[in-house]
Amino acid sequence: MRNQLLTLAAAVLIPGLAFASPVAPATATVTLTGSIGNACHMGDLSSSQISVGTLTNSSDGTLAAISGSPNTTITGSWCNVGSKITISALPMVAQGYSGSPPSGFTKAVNYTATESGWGAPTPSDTSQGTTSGADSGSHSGSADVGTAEANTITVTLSNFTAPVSGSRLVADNNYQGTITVTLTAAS
Amino acid sequence: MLKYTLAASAAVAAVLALSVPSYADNSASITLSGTVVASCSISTSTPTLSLGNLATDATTGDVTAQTISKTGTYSAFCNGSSNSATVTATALTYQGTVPTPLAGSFANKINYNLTTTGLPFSGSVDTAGTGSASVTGVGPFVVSNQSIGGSVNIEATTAPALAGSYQGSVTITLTAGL
Repeated sequence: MRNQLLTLAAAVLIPGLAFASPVAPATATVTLTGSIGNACHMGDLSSSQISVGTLTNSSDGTLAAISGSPNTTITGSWCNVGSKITISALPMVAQGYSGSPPSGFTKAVNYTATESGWGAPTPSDTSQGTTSGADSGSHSGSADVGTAEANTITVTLSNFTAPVSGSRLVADNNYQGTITVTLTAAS
Repeated sequence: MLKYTLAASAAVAAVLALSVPSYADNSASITLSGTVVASCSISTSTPTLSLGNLATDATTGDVTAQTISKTGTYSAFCNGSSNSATVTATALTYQGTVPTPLAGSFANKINYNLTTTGLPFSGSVDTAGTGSASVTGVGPFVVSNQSIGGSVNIEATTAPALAGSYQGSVTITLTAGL
């Protein structure tokens, strides 16, 4: 634009040049570049707490069958690139019972947490609690999803077991376990 | 000026490249909860224990002091962290009808004391006293087909005992507690 103004001024001040050969306009092209980083967002839990109620048979104190398939959903999750979904389950442990229980008893209940809805395959993880309540090591289940994904994730719990078959659960008003679901964008 | 414009464009491009948001909220934690109610259970496969024919003094007819060892078989458990157990015993009582005119002349009740063994606690009771003993603060325990018993110490009577059948009871009550 400035060059054009200069050209016009020259034409006014120097009439003899008004019909000289025109000056080719100067142009410059600027290329704008940008990028979007790989990212994942975990959505909202329909419920951050799942209660399975009473865990034992009142007749003998052993683990009762857990009715139904306890579950919760996570809505609004997305990854803008391929991703890895990881799920880990920590055992349900009696929170109020101190120390290790005597022989024949347990203060932990194990279970399997399975994720679904985020591509395939569906990863799962089984907690590995011992009778004393400790988790016996680092473990998790995971699956790689090759493309971007935006979907509802469902976490379903199943296969509740005692660390030692037939052992009885110590009484406690508060058994608690934790399930963690993580989305990691492909690098 | 052209250089300045290009420099400005480059700066804009750089800003765009740096404006990629960074997301940290990519995990969710779910808490799983449940409860285990405190409870106890006890059962026996030997609901009746026979003490046999009690010895009596041949001259007076009084029941003499004697010790009889008996065991029963029990299965029991308590899952509470602080349970209690109560042992209650009742005297051996004549099961027939006491002839009214002779009621004061004969013994129709025989006392005894015993200590239960084989459980994670012990309880001593004497039917001549309160007939009951309690233990508290018992932790979780389980016994399966365990022999529980001990010595039944029959106490002497001060009168001849009526002949016939006598019956008493020993009751173990378990109460769960946290």
